[in-house]
Amino acid sequence: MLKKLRKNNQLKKGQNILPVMVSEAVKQQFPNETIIISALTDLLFDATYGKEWVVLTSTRVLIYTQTGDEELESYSLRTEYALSTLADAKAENTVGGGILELITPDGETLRAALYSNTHARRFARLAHSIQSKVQKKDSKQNVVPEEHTKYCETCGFPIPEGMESCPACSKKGRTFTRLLEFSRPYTKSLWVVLLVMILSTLCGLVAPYTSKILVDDVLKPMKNEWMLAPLALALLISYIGQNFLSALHGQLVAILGHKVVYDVRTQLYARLQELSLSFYDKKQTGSLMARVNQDTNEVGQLLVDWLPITTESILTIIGIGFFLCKLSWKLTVIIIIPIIITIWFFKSIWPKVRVYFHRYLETRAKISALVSDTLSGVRVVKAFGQEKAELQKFDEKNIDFRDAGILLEKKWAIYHPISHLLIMLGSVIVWYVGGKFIFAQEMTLGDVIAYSGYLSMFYRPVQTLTRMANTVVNTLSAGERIFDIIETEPEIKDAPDAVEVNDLKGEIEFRNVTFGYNKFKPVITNLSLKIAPNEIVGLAGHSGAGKSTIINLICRLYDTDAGTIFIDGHDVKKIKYADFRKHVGIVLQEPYLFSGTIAENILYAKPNASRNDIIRAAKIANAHDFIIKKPDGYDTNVGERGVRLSVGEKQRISIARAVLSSPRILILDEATSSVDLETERDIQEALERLVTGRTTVVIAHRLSTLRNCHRLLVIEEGKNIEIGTYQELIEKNGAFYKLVKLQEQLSQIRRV
Amino acid sequence: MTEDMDRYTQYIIDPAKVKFYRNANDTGGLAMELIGSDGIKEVYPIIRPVRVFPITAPEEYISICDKGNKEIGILQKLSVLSADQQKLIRHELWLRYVMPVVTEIVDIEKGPNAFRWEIITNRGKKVLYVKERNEQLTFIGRFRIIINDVENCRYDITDYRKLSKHSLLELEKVI
Repeated sequence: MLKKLRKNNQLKKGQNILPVMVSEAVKQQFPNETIIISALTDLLFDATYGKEWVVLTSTRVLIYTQTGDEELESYSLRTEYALSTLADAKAENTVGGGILELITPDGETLRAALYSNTHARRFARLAHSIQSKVQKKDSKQNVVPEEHTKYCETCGFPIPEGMESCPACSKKGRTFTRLLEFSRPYTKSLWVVLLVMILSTLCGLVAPYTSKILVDDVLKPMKNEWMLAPLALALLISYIGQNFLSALHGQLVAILGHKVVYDVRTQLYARLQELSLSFYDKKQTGSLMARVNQDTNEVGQLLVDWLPITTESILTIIGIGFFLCKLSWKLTVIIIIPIIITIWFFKSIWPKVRVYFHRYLETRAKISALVSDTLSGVRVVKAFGQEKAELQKFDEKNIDFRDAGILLEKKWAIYHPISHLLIMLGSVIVWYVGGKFIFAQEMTLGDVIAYSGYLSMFYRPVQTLTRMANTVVNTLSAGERIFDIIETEPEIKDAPDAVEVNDLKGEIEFRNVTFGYNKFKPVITNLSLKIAPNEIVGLAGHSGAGKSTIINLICRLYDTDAGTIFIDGHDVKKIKYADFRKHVGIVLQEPYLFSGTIAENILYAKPNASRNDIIRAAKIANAHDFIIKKPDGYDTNVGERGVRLSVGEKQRISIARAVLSSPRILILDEATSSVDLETERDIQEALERLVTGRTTVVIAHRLSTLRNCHRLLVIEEGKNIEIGTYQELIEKNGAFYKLVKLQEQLSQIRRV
Repeated sequence: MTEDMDRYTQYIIDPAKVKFYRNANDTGGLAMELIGSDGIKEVYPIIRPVRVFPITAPEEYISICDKGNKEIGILQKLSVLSADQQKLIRHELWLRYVMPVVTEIVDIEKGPNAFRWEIITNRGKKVLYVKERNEQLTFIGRFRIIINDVENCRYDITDYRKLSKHSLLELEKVI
């Protein structure tokens, strides 16, 4: 039963192609039509699961619904719409899914089909195609790129976003080979390490054999007393040798491992810096930090600890196996059965114990998360008097943790004695069967003693191997996550024909730009505007209208989905990225200051500027006076481990930073947070000085800023609805007027 | 930058046009005579020198502020002043910026909650208590360390490589 379900869940490659049955039906019923595009949905019209096909032909929209059994795949026409009766089409997003809506020229909305989020992108594409057909637009222009969740062909599980292949089914060997690639510069050292390891293992295997010789040729027959000394010496040397070589091996491996991890970490970090903002949007900062910090450490541990231990264990087992067979292959055959049972035991019980181990680790992580959360929010806890409730929350997690720990110990306590018992069983068999063989003159006493010795050496590496097998696999996943990032291509990179622009005038043009952070939910639709050099342009509008998005596009933090942005007449995609960023300066709403001194923060965009330049920039930004009041002046440490600056101070420092970089194009996202009047005045003055003599695009919140702009663009729902100077727009009595009135009312309330 | 902006950046004090002296009451304060851009001599009976980059450039960019802590101008380099003028300013800075330079670390001892440091500085001997092993030690560059003690006083190891062997041994206990 299970197998069957899996197969059905898989999105087979052919599943997105229109089934023959449907295409035949279309040909039959509408013989002159050509099929342009079709989409499969997983919801029936009553929002229950089932299949429907929506087909766009040259004159119609046809909807075929599933009839009968799912296995049979038969369809019948549910409804049809003639394109001549439609004016528009829209893929309306709901929560968890969407509705395909067809709009008539009278403005009436017809619901055509329902779908779940799985098919959202496909339907957005379909709606777009219908729209293009109906409005007779060139449909090639604004194509929504095809993206859907990929499913692994082997196991049927979805492939995590951002990854190309299924991590569970991928050849672990591949990651391993990639890791080895990193160690290629150190091949010589690798050979040395291998040699030392083999020698060390050999030394370890000498001991039991020496005891065989001792017993058989010296002690039992009471002859060859002269051999005692050299044998003892040989034993001593082998022990010393093994210890020494083992230590040497450990050292060499540690050095090698750390060097390799250093290389991996460097490459990873370098790649992270290269990748574009859209990559960071999709991933959580926390998980990225985990990759750089934890995953690289895990890979390091793999190379430094686990791999050498595993290889050593394998070598030891092979060596011991050889000697066991040499001493008595008959005994080895007999002993194989208990050995297999023991190995089976290790292999099967260990995963079960591991579950408890994981539970222990997880409950521990939950408790630390809770503690960290509560203590950092202690102000809120106290303000609302929720100490008791927090205590209860903590208690629940604490109990879970305690119980997990106790359970783990219990299971562990069972595992150990049983494994010991099984090992002892082996020993008993050796003595009994070996004894019998001695009497049968097939083995000597020395043989049996040596055999017992080898057997006791045998189990440790086996145990290690079983435990290591899983750990190694898990750590390889860490390696995979790292390589996954290293292999990601940055979305925004220089086109091969990218040019350097040296003398930028600062003219910006948007031509029919469409963009959305999610490809099927555009924030800006078909926007066109032109900004002259040195013009100060203000963007006004409600929150969510698309102002910040326009700014992000100008900075080329994202690339447009459709349409082009021109800077000084050049397509922004054709300008060298690094060069471009030099000419664009940005002052954000939330000024982010890095860990470092104030001077370092101001210097951030122009690290080679002189101290004089820093002071000058700070004076222009009205920041110098408060900076020198601080005991460390410009050398004051700010950011994570430094002094806390007030919002106004941070703002002015970030303005100083922008002044210093003296960009041709300045982007200003005004802060809405309130500061005291004097600081407000200082900031306003600083901003006025900053925007002079450069092309400025400002998301304005202050009335004074709006008034100072040469032109204002009012944005609503991603479209530019009003343009003009402040005075003109106020007189127009339109959307802008309403906005200003609203703001005035708000500030009045604030004053009260 | 427009001419208007240059106004904000005319802050460098011309060393030829300025004179520092001890003020009349000699309460230890410094006074200054400055010939302004208009040629008129202005007298400031009380001025305070403030380091603009106290840690990275202590002898450059000295901001001269008046009684109300408003900046009058900035001296770009102390070294361009005459020797006795330099002495006056340096003395004033010596009084205002108390961050002794560590010349020798006699002993570092671990206590229950803090570390007890016994050091010799350019201002004399000092015993201080530092919380934690090295959380309160800030590295500036690779060889300079600023120590922050429990009383929020700071001490400067300008280059730990130049310390004596004994000092280094003691220092290794905490870094």
